[in-house]
Amino acid sequence: MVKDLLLEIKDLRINFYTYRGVVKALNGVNLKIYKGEFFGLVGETGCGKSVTASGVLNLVQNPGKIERGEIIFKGKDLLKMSKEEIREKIRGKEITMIMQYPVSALNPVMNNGDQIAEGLIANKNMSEREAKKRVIELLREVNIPEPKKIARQYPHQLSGGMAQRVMIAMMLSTEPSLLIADEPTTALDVSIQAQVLSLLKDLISKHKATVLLITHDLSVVAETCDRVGVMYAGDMVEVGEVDQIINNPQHPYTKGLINAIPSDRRKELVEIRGSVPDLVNPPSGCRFHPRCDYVRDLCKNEKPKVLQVEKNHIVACFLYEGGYEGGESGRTD
Amino acid sequence: MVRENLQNWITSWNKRHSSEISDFKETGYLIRRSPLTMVGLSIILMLIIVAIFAPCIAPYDPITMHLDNRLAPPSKAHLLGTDELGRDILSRIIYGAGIALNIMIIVLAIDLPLGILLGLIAGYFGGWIDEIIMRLADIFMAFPRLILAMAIGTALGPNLRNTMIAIALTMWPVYARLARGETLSIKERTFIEAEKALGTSNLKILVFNILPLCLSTLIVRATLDMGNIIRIAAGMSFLGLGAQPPTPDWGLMISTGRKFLISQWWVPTFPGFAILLAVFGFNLLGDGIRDISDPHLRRGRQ
Amino acid sequence: MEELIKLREIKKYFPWKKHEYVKAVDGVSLQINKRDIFGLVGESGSGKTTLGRIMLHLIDSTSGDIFYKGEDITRIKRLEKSMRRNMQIVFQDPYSSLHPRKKIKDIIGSGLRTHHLVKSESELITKVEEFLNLVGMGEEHLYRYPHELSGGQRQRVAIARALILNPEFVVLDEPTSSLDVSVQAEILNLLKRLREELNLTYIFITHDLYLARIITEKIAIMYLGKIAEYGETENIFENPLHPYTKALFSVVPKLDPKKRTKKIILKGEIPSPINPPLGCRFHTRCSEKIGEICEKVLPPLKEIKDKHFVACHLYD
Repeated sequence: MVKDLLLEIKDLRINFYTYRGVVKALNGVNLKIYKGEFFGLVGETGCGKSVTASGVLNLVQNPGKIERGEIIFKGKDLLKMSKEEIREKIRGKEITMIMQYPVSALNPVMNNGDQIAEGLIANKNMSEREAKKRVIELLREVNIPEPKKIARQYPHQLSGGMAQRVMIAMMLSTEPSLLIADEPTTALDVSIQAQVLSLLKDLISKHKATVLLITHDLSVVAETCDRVGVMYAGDMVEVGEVDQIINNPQHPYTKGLINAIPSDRRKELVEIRGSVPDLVNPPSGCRFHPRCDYVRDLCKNEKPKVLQVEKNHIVACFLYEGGYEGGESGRTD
Repeated sequence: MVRENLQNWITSWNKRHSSEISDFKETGYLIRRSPLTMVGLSIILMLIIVAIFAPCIAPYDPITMHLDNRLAPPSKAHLLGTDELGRDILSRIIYGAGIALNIMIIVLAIDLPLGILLGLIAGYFGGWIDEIIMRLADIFMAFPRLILAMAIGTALGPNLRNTMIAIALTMWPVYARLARGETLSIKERTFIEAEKALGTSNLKILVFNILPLCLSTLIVRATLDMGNIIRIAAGMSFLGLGAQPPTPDWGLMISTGRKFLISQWWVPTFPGFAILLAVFGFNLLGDGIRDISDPHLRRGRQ
Repeated sequence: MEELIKLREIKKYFPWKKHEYVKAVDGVSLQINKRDIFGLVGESGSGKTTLGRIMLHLIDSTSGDIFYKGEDITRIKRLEKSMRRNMQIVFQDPYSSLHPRKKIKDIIGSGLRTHHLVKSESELITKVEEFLNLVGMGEEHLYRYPHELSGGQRQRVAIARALILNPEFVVLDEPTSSLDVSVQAEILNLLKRLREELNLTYIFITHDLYLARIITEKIAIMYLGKIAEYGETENIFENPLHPYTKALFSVVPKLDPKKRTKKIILKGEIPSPINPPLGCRFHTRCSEKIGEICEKVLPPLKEIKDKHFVACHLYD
């Protein structure tokens, strides 16, 4: 099966110029997302996952600056496009985004139906009547009961789960090629989270869209995504299919993360020693080295190369020089 | 031996207060980055220095009349000319700085504590105490400030002290409301709940936990009001309700000098400029402080 | 097992507009014994947070009784200071539970001053240092402000603040929900260790089921102000009886694909606690509803097996 490349991020570097110093938020991130897949970007606070998403949409705000890199979407480099082109063709149309707190992302003075209709009228040249009809269809698609009533209501009257579904309806209305979901269910209750995630999965297969899901919750990724990228302190440390990452993690950080999560697997939580580095003065070489149990001198001096572990599974770590588990040190984990 | 102890104490003091020191430095940096704030700050500093060193700086005595030299235009001897009683205008303006600052300090010294006290109590305890205080504030706020000040000033009798009381009475509701608003939002915050869980008394919560957080908003507001106070005081004096002759109060100088505006323009104009400069300086400073205090600009630490 | 806290039919109704109430806790009875690690698990609107506050007497209950070591403390307006010391709390958000303008030493030492446990500043510093070390932090933090600390560090400070008074029990209100996963592991391991060292009783409030499984020994699953199921943690996880519990377990995302059973996706939203459904609170979303009895009659909490209680008509 030949997979079409939808989005490719090459060597993306983003810095933030703050009073305390230069925060080197993204340290040369590489990422490939294929058409039709559900890709999960996982990491903790400060790893740069949200910054990557804003980079894709070229929404990096002052004092942040995209230093270099390419973001190739359907063959064109988004970073070289003019602001108008991105605004008119890409943002909100080809690439849309839903966020953690949907109620605050929605316009509080417009009712829900009008907000969705607005996009349809502007982008798809629908008449008001056609748009209103389409809005009800969309609301029904996202499993909102009594769509006509909800359309007339205002965002503040919606619960978290409903608001998120309205956002999804809005974001799908333009039939985007890529939907970015930045922590969409983090603020929702577990039972509602399950509803929203299963909805996303259904809609994706129906609309043949591609999703980039950003989250700190590896379990959510395990259940919904096809492929996963793990980020740490501005680097992409491991990328692979979901099963590969969960059952055969190679990067010490990925392993640490899996051991630290309360899950169905363990009775104990294992800590990762140390703490997330200050990105104004990040560690030299591999940014994870101060916390790594397998650290060697090489790790402190050079940034690890990306190595292939198995088909579709890559890791950025010197432990796997030679492309198989163990490498020089002969360790097997 | 003593020197060593002192050094040790200094190092330990530095260590214990390193956080405040770096906060202070950051404030300094932000102030320096804003040219308008620097201008405002300079004007005010100049005003303060002039006020304090008036006896040394002023070339002449501000009160003594020299009826043989009335209404003299600006010259080398009298840089800003003389007024209708032969007094040197420059010297009167210099001494007037102190009076203006004095008014401002006294008004704020009454209003800030009063407003904070009433606002904290109203906000924290709510209920009927809140109602009473707020309705009282409403009554005072129902009148336009200058008119109310005039009314009170007239009732009390026209002199500088009563002017200050009158102005203070018109302004306390603003601070009370501000303090109350801050208290209402602060008291819901988790660290207040934590203090309650620890058993801290209400008084201690108010004084040591809520009050310090209100202060910055109130100080910003006070700084922005400083210009207003001077303006209203000048207005009161202009109307004859404030300072009485021969006090070198700027507003009074304009009032008595008004009739000379066409022919001997320097008599009312220079005091007018002085008021303008002072109010301008305070406004710039106030704006600058407000911008700097804005947490969005400061807390890049998260 | 010595009884520490007993709640009997506790209700807490918050007034909401005219003649309406948010029924946050709507009739809860349970008992916490010394050295328990008791979990209160539920989603939003379940009332777990309110219940935690009521146990500490930070909020008054609308009706019902609270007993502390056998003594009825329901009517006491303000707890005696000595009793206050015995019950402490660690809040969810480390970013707002510490006073932004106070130094760490004053934040942790606040309780010491209030209860006159130290006579001088240097005594305070010594004691605060002791507890800073206990939670794994060094004395360099004494003079710092909260904004200079990371989330995990702040939470450690909050823990030190609670423990320095030597309490008997500590309510932990979602203590790690705002923290990163790797930091969460550290804090939880710290809490476990401290419980052993200081012989504490924990009431652990969380919405994270697997977290509850790892740390608690007994657990109460709450829904809309009432307890749905209650018993020993392992029993409840091995054999959930209440349809809500079963649904919750099925939809929690799991790492291991083999453990994923068919999901019971609950329809609808969590009803508002202002007008909770009559009868069994869960009947509007329940896939195992029997019939009218669920809509009209509130099921009582009954012991089904050894210390395993369920409130459901399926087990009448």
